[in-house]
Amino acid sequence: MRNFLRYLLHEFIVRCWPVWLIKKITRCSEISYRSANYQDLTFFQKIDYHWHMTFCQPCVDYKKQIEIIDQTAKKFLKDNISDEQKKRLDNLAEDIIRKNSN
Amino acid sequence: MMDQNFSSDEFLIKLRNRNPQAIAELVTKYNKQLYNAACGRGLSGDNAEEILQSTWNSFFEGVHRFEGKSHIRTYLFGILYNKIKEYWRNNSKFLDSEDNDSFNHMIDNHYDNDGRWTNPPIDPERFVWIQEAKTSLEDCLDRLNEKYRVAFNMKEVEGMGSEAICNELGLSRTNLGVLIFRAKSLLRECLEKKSITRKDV
Repeated sequence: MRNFLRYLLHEFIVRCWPVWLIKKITRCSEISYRSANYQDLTFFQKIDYHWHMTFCQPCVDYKKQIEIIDQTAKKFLKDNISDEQKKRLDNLAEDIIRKNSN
Repeated sequence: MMDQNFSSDEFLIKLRNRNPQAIAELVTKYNKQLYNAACGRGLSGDNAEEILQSTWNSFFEGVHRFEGKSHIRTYLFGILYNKIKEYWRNNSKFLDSEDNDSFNHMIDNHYDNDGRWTNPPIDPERFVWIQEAKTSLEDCLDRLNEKYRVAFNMKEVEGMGSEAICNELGLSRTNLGVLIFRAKSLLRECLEKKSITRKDV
């Protein structure tokens, strides 16, 4: 439903708005950049960003994909050590202990 | 192993006297944490090990100067972060090296001259299979240029603030923003290709 409303709004803008006003809309390429750096946006950039998201389905999809990447990275990659790496670390620890002990 | 007070005078004296048991306790306790912290700064496994070894060497060389005013963990991680900064300084070329051409080519394929999507992203539900997400993401991260991987790791995996990352890597806010955007776009592109390939099989 939400996607359909977004589609309708997009069609309305494309068909009914004058060209000069459409050109004032922030480009999708800029919005993609803002999706990747959302935390660092200013208040007005955020408002502009959310306005763009109300009618642009590809940018919404892009944002969702970026969110999936961020969440997956946080969930799986933090403090993630393979078994082989654990062994290597244990060997390294033994080495350090041996080298520095009396 | 008993919970050791690593900052007690007694323990520090043992360390200064190179007591094997004290050293073993300390190394066992912090080795993995230090390694994780180094990886979190975007270092590859081999580089992280190298930095780790160098950190321990510096620690044991300077342990007689450590007065125990701060926690030993703070002291150890302080050494580690300085080593990492030194590493970035010595390898600063990686931050200057440009691969604009390949990135611009990718961007050109996605947007028209007015910055509108010509090749829009696929439906997020098809994007990745959650059970494969970890391996896919690791694989795509490995393919990233080091500068993008470092920026992405520090920002998204470690959750560091932009200012802290800029200080550590000696970057401006704009440069960091560009690095993060490119890292995420390249990851997205890579994962999207994987998703499409899997779906078509």
